[in-house]
Amino acid sequence: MITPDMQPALQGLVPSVIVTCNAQGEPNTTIISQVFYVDETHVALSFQFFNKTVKNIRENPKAAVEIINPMDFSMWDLEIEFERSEREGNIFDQMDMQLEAIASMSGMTGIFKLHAADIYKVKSVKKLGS
Amino acid sequence: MQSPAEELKNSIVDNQLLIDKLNADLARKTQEVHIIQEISSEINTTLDLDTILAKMLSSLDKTFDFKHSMVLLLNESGEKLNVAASHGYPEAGIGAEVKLGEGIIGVVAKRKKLMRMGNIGTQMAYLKSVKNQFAVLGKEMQENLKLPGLPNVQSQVAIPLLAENRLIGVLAVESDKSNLFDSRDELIITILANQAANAIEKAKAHTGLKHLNEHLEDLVILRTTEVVAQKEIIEEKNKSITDSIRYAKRIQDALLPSISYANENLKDHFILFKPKDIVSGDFYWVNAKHGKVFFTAIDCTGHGVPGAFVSIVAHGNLQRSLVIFGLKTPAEILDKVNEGVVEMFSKGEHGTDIKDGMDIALCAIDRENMKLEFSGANNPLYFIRNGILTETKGDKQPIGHYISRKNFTNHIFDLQKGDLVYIFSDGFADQFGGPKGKKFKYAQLKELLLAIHEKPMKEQKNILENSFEEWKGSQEQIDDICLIGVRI
Repeated sequence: MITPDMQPALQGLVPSVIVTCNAQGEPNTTIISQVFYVDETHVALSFQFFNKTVKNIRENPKAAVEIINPMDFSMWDLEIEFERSEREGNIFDQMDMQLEAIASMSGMTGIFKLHAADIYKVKSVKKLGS
Repeated sequence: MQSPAEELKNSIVDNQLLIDKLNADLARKTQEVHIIQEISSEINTTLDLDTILAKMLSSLDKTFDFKHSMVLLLNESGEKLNVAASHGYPEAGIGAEVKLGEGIIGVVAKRKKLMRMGNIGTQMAYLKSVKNQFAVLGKEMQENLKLPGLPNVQSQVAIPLLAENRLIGVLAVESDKSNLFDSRDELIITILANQAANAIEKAKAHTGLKHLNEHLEDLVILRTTEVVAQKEIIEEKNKSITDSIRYAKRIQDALLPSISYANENLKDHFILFKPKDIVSGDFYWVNAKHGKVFFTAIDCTGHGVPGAFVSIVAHGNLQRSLVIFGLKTPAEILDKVNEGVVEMFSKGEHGTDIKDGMDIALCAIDRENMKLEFSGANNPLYFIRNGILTETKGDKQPIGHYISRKNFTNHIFDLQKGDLVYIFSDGFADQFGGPKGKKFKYAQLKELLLAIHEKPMKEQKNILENSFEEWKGSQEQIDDICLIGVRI
């Protein structure tokens, strides 16, 4: 599903757009700083604050996310489905460490805290413009 | 539409391209393994920490084109990292500090887990905008941290240097370009970091040992100096003590009768006097009074300085008894001497009575009436006439403290011309030596005296002295020796 040429788009250089819906099917779109690569069929999103995206996903696990390769601006649309929330393990640590590092450098230690790493199964990948 | 032949051709071309790509990948992998081996063997040939770090960082640049890198080592407190080596920066920045938990390097150190980021600048910009929003809301915000490294860093791989899961430092490679490092770079840097961690530990252990050695050497030098200084002090003190004892000997010698006085009064005689130390507990005394010649061999308890002190007491009391009290017989004199010594030694301060005393053989020769008087405190008189040795034992009590004391016995003998009289301390008979390291003993002394008694007195003295030396051999002289012989 996730091919090596998509990797640069999963480094958080260009923000991604995510669309979720609540239980009633009301859509919401927002920009997220990074879609993390987990494995070929999974990605992770950071759960820092209880925002609308997090709330919607708990009601309706399906979502769509668009990722962009910063080198050539090629784009992919991913259909994803929330699987589980992780509060420990490799992916959580990786995301948590990055957040801690960046926050500490910005003089905001403790303000940004990773609540969980939300793991999504990738249902489909579609490269735009092809 | 492609013909089957073209399709086949295309697929062959595709396959070839794939094979070429795989070959190229394989070649790169082989080269990487080779280079890593080279670097690790290079790192491991030296024990100098600075050299190891410099080599590692420069080879990261040379081989993998990682232009900016640094190694930070955990300081002793375990709370901070300090830049120990850097490569590719306008300023080396050695010593620059990162607290645990601060920035990528600090977090890597805190968590002991590697981190790779390719979007640092973007993330920083994102947080900056959040911060601005907070600021607009009136929240007070801290300044950005100032950390060692590139000011406009975008990509960084930071790897903890671990020795048996203990953090010793962090290796960081960074770039101002985005997404510069991929997972393969991460792997290479990790392998090198492990090598480096081992080499650093080895170097540290080596340096530690070197410092310890240097410290020990310093310590040895210091101690040697101290010992030499102490030796000098001791030598100085020893010299001063010896000097003072030598002076004491002069005083003690002055108390001994002069050779001419002894010759004049004892006439044909010898005195064998061999102190063990400089000053002596043994001494002899000759005094002519009341028409008699009093002479004695005295053995005060102990030897050396304490013996000498007691000998002074003994001498004073002998003189007093004979001259001041005018006592006329050896037994009376010994009683008086005993009285004086006991009295003198009972005055010890803090109730400490002195138990020291002396053994004495005291003779008085009356040449006019050809009489010999003898009285002994523990020590006997040997008397030889016509080749027969007669022993007259002294009373079994010393001069000094003694529980069941009685008056000393005064023995009187008639003298004939040629009779020989010998009195002595126990130093000769008690000397260890001979083939079995045993005491000389009185039986052997008697035999010896009998064997030589006809010889001139001077020769007897020489024979006795030589016999003593021969018996003693390499053994130490155990006590003072005083032996007086008189021929009538």
